[in-house]
Formats: sequence, C-alpha cells, structure tokens
Amino acid sequence: MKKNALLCFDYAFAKSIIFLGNLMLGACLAQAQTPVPLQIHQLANGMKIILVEKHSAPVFAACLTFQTGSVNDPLGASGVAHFCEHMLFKGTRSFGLKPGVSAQQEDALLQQADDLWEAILAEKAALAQAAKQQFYSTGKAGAETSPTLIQRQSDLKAVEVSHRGMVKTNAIGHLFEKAGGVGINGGTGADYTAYYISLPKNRFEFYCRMEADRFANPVFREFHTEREVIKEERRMGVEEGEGGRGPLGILMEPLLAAAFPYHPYGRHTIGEMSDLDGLRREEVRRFFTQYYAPNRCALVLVGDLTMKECLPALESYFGKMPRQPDPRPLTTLSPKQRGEKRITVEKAVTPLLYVGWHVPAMGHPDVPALEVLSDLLSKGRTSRLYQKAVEEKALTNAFSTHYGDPGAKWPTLFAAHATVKAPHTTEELEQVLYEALARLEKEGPTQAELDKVKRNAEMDMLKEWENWSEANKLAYSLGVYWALTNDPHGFLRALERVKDVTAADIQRVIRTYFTRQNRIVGTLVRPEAMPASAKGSVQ
Amino acid sequence: MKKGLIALVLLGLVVSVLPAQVLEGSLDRLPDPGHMALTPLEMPPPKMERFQLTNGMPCLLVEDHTLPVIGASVAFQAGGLEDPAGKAGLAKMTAELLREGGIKTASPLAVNQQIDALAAAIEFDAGSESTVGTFHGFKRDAEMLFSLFAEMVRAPRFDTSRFAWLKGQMLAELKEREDQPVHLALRGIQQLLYNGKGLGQLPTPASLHAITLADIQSFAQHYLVPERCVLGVMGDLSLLEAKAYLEKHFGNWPGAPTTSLARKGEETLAKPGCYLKKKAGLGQSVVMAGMTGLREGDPDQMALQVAFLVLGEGKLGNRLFNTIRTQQGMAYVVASASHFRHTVPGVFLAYAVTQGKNTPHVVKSMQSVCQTLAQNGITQEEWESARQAILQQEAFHGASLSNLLAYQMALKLFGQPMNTMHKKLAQLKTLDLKTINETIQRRFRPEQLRFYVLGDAQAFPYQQMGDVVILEQ
Repeated sequence: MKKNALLCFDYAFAKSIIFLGNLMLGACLAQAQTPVPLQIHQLANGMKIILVEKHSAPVFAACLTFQTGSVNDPLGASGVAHFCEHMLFKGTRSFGLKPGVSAQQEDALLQQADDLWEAILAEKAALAQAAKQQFYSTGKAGAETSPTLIQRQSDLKAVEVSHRGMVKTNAIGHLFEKAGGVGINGGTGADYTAYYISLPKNRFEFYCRMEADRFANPVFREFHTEREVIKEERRMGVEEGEGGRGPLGILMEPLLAAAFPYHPYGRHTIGEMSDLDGLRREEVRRFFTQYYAPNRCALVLVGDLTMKECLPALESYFGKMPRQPDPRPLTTLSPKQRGEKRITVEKAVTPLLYVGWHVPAMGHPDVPALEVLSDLLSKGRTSRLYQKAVEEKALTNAFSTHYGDPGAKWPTLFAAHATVKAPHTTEELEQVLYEALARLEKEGPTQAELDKVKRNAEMDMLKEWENWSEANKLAYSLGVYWALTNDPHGFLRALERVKDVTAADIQRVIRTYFTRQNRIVGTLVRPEAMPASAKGSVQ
Repeated sequence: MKKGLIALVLLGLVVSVLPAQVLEGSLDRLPDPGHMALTPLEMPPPKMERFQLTNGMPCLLVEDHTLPVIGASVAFQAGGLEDPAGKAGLAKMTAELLREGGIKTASPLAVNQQIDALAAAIEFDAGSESTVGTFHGFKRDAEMLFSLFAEMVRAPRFDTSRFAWLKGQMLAELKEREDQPVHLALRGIQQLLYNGKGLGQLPTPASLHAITLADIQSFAQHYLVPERCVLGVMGDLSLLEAKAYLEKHFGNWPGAPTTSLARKGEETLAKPGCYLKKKAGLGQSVVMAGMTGLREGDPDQMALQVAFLVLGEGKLGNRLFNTIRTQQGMAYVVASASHFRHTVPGVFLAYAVTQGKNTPHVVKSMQSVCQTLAQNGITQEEWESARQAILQQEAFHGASLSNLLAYQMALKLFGQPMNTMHKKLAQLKTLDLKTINETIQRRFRPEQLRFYVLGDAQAFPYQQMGDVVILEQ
C-alpha cells in the first residue's frame, strides 16, 4: 500500500498525512526480535478491537477502519465512498444542530433540497435530450440552461441558506478539539476507509460516545456545498497535481483506467467530475448503509489504556451497533494484459515516469518477495536505484518503488516512478530501471543487501512504536492491514512470510512479473516536448 | 459473607471502570458530549536531565528504556539568516553536505553503507534560525553511531564531487517546486513581507550557483562550532551512558572565537494591499494573506495564539474553514498558520486554494473573516473552547520524545527559560476574554495584511479584488 493511494479529508496541505510508506515490510520484519504486544477482542456484533498498550503519556490514538473503499463505488457513482467519508464529519442526530432546532425541522429542509436536486437533474437531462433533437431537426445547438433550471438552482440555494441557519458548523471538530483531540482526520483508499484521532486518556468514553454516534446516527447535511469542496479537492489533486502525489496525481487517473479495465481499481478514488456533479444524497446514504457495519470494522487503539478498562465503554457504545449482512463480494477482475501499454499525459510540469507491473493481491505467496524487492530497489541511499539513478547518473532526485498501487486486496500494480532532472529524459530513467531489474534477476541480491533490508524494516517498525508522533501511524497501519487481510494479527504475522525471502525468490518474482508484456508505462511530458508529428491536429 | 465479598468486588469493578453514563438498548439516547463526566488527568512533567560537557557544551537527555533504540541531536544557532547576500541557500547546502559529503576517514559511499547497514538514520538540515543534525539507531550500535555522528559534525570531508552533485540536486528541487503553486505562493509572500531580505531572502538558481565550496567550509568553521551548539540525547541510555558517549565524542571539541549574530529586526515591508502574480494555465489560484511581527516570548503571545486558533488554526472548525470551505464550498484547503520566532519576527499566514473564477470571492471572504475578528474579537464560547483545547492537549507534551527533546533544545539554544511551556500554560489560565479581545484589536490589523494571489488572471476579474498591484513576471 502506498500512502498516496489515499484520499484524505485533511484540509491542511502543510500537514498532509504521511502514512504507510513501506509499512508492510517494516511492520512484518519487526516481529522476530521485538513483537508488538497486540490484544484482540471481538464484540458480539463482530466489531474487532485491537489494542497496543503504551503507557509513556496519558494519551491514546484511535483508528476506526472499515473494510470498504472506492472499489465499492457503483458504476455511475464514482467517488461515493470518499464522499461518504466527508459526510461522516457532518454531525449526527445528537450534535450538529443549533439549540431549539428539531430533527423534524431539519429533515423537512433536507427533503426539500433532495427534491429540488432531483428536479435539477431531471431538467438537465431533459435539456440535453432536447438539445439533441433540436440539432438534428434544425441544425442549431440547443440551450444548456432554462428558466426552470435557473429557478430550481436558485430555490436550492435558498433552502441551503435556510438550513445553514440551523446548523452548528463543524460541530464534530469543535467537540473533539475542545476535548484535547489532535490529528482528527479520515482517509478513503481503494480498499479501506479510516477515521482517526488522538485524545487524552480520560476522554476514552467521550471518544466511544462520539464515534458510535457518528457511525450509527449520521446526518448527511450540507451535501451540496460539500460536493463543491470535493470538486476543489479533485481539481487540486487530479487536475493540478498539488495533492499528496504531486504532479504524479495528474497521470494516475488515466493510467489506472488503462491498467484496470473492468476492475474498480481503474477508477480514481475521488471520482469523475461528471459523477460528482450528478450524485444524490440518497446514493451516499445507500453506500453508508450497505458498507458501514460493525462486523466490517476494527477499532485500533494505541496508548495509555488497558482492555479491561476499555471494554465497558466499548460494549456500551459500539456494542449497540447492529450487525449487518455482508454485501455482495467483489469478484470482477481485469482481463490479463497481453502487451505493454503506454500512456502519455501532457502538462507543463517537470516530466516524470511511472512504470507499473501487474502483480498479485496480498495473500499470494509472491507478495513478500515483491515487498523485499521494492526495498532493495529504492529504500535508502545504498539501494540500487538510488545508487544508479540518483547518485551515479544524476537522472532524478528520487526513484520510488512500492508494492500495491492503488490497493492490495485485489491484483494490483508494483509501481516505480521518478521525476526527471533536466536535461535527462524519461527514456533514460526507464533504461536504468529495467537494467537494475535485469541485473537483480540475473545475479540476485547479495546476502548483505537482504540483511540490510530486514534490519531496516525492523527499525521502521520500532520507529512507529517508539514515538507518539508515530503512534497514530501504528494504529493506522494495524487497521489497514486488518482491512486487507481480515486478520487482526495480519500486520505482524506477515513477518513469518517475509523474513524467509531468499535471493532466489527475488529472482523468481522478477522473472515472473517484470516482463514487457505485463507492464504499463506512463509519462508526464511538457506539451512543447512532444515531437512535431504529435502536435497540431491530424498529421 | 463470601457472596457479599464477591458482590463488593464486582461493585468495585463497576464503579471504577464502567462509563459514567451507561446506555441501555440502542444508540438513540446518548449523553451530551459537551457535559460528560471526566476523571482528572495526571500529567507528570516529562523527565529530562541537563548537564554540561567539560568544554562547556550544554546537553539534554530524555531517557526511555521501552525499546532498544537511541537518538541524538545537535543544534546550532545559525541558519539561513546567516546566508550572505546573493548566496541564499548556503546554510542549507552546508547542512546537506555535512550529511552527503563524507568524513575525513571515510568516503560518502562508505558512510552511507555504514548507516544503512546499521539500519540507522542520520540527517542534517538548516532552517532560518538554526541548523540541526540528528541520528537514530539501535542501542547496540551506540558507539559506532556516536562516533560517526560526531565525525560528521566535527570533521566533515565536504567532498568536491559531492558538492557539485548536491548543488545539482538542490537546483533540480528548486525547479520541481515551480510545478507547485502553493510553494510558489509561499515564496512570493515571504519575499513580499520581508522585502527579499532576512526571512525573505530565498534560494534561487543564481544564488545556489554562486555558492562555492569555500563558502561552505567557511560557514561551517564560523557558525557550526561548540559555542553555538546544544546537544540532545534520547532513548535507551542512562544518564551515565549518555554523559560518557557525549564526553568522549564531543567533550574535547575545542572552542572557537565567535561573534554575535547580526540578525535583522523588522524589515521594511511592502505596503499593505493586494498583490497579484499572474501565472497562465493555473486551474486553481493560491490566495495568501500575511503579516509579520510574531516573536517567541512576546507578552501577547498566548492571546494571539488563542485568536489564531479561532481564526484558522483549529482543526476542522475555525472561522476561515467554516466560512470559505464548509459554508461557501469554495476551497478544499483553507486555514492559517502562525510562527512565533525566537530571534526575528515571524509570520502569520492565512491561505486558501480555489478554482480560478472564485478567486476574488475568496479574497473578499478572507478579508471579511479577518475584519470581523479584528472588530468583534472572539466570543466567550470560542474562548472557552480554545482554552480547553490548549490545556487538554498538554497531555501530549511528553508523548513524543523527539518532539520534546527538540522543543527543549530550541529553548536552550535561544536562551529561553526551560519552563517556558509551564509559564505559557500559567499565562493561559490567567487570560480572560477582555484581554484577548483588546490584544486582537491592538495587534491584529487586517488593514495591514498583505494579500498575495497567484493565479491565471484570465480566469477571474481581478479588479474585483480592489486595488491590485500586479507583480512583474
């Protein structure tokens, strides 16, 4: 899993979350010498509790992880999982309204807004249909708007203004912050969705009360304004390349679409603009009902708590959430790729290269070797790609690789990417990458390299555990690994699968997966750098 | 009797661990989250040892024996503010070359191999006011790590070929930053606020090219000396062990004559107003508003921090966020940040990223939110929430060893009292709404804000933003 596959509610670009980089390997390898003492409990409704006691300060980190993400977005409603995450910060029946406003009053206004939105969508569809008919009957373009549409839109704005008068804006953030909460946020990935915060330990019951309420009684208010916020988020990350992945974000949407025909990994988590523009509140509500359930959720706690003192509040609040039937499992796969794919996106930014190879989902016996391979290639200043591409040839400032883009629950990509340092080219980067793989495949890594990778992975784990600034990360990692493996111990048990990776395993996975036919190559290039034959209209 | 004893034990269990307000049935009726029972929190002050080496270097130790790992830091009071005119980036390049340039007894590659083989991390970086180096590794490798770290600090090789390579890296990084409008805007407003001097003197390709290896050697000899330095150690080391390692590797570091730093105070500011930097092709504009004058230890600091928390620094619930994002849907990113600096006036910045056509509206909204704060101050409810938030978050103060150590080292480095945090909290407890709002009126002057807008001027009628100064391309 890569941090950047995650879309966040996070609003502060300066504090964007930094999670998950190489966490799988790091977490796993640590177990042999320094096991993290996990305590596991399951509530009667199926909700998992995973606790790591850490008593160095009177605080705890909590991460509620749900086994759902953008892979569950229905066709025509891309982005709904992420939209749902945003909606879950809007308050509940018991908080979010100003004093004196009743739920009935609010419901009436929300229903009015829903009805108006439905009318707006219907009018837009009618206008589009009429425009087509007009063109074919008269040869003239049809109208894009109408007095009816303008009126409905104006009515909707008026309803929103009335509703705003009822709402206590961002009550959840206000309440958590007043309670001493830090780092409140949520994140939606392809395979999972997580909600996290850290609090002083005497706020544990408060935490349970707030979160159980949020996931039992949410009110999806301020829907249409939030749609605009999400569209700004999309512009920033996918269109302008200012999000967590930087300019790579511009390339990823078309690249994933090409890499994963049929499978939902081919659709960006944030959703297509046209889908966002048409989304109904009811569709988000339906998604929530279908996929948010205690039996699809794990609460990971790291901090100054014991299971004994936590259980009464956990039972009292989360224990009352009803178990839900499991949704239909996703079984769609993309057909096997039978030839190299190449994608080019033009944008006036520093050129970059992305190469992805199709690899299996987590749980496949080759995955541990793929994780070790990633570290051999790009982790640290003595890794192979750093040595060759960054130091020796100075082609780039950093070459990154990782297993699991955009997810890891289904067959996915092993990714390698780097920006190009002028005057070099993406072709040179590609060449260095393929040569490094070919050499590893031919000679295998040295034992010293394998030992180095394993020692560093152990240290990564200790870093997560050691410092409070990392405690949220540990909670997050444990939650994500559970979501991917369905095993509360998954984060640690994978060690047993990874520590035995041999040089021959590395050679074998390179031979198996890192072929020309199995890769997709994406480049972000400056428009002016395109060859003359590619410019202009038809050549 | 026996039965009674069990009942008593069970009762005790219930009283001590059950939530104060037990629920029945469903989650329909929940306690008021604003008034839930709260057990007092014990927040013992973090344990920290202070000592001096025989050469007078001050040292701090935060012990923690939970895991077999250790870390150490060295901080010098010298940074980007010491960059000579025309050579912005010298402090940063010096710090980077300490890490990348090898040591007298080993090549850069050999150093990297040793660090990676030990699963350790050593990094150096320079900010505006200080240069900091840190290492982290297994306790079993302590001697090797202290030795290597000390040699990097005291006997850097400053390898010539690595200098050229590093310069290329920094130039490429600068170039890549041009792809990121937020970074461009941040640079722009810094330059505007400080007239390109002091904190506004930022690295450019020309300034990086102008730096020579001799400049780096001179910077290190002049500024990275024991007299300007504080050492810190954390993790699985006893006081005795920490003293022994530091004494062995740093205690015989001879002093060098130093002069006091000639740091500038307030810069001449560009006049308040709205400045536009045009950049064609941007789909979103970056709007920033800034003011200077924030000093660590300022008597108004806590009142201003409360005001800024309410204005734009509260997580998921501040006035800028509530207005521009939640109510208007105009931005995904909108917030403010303040930096109270130790030796020169720091900045307050409000910022938002919005699609081009919304730019004038966001500028006006930001102005309006700031003006409302200046005119009306904060409310009693906001004050109470901010006070609670700051006091409750004190529980996290000792939670991160590295953050705690860094904070205390900064205090020591800049001559602030070591009990500064305690004093600030005490100050907070004596504050009242009237004082805060008087401070806001006196210190927060929206008419003094400089707005910096980076965007595609074709996408919005920038004249709607009032008198706009167009900055040269």
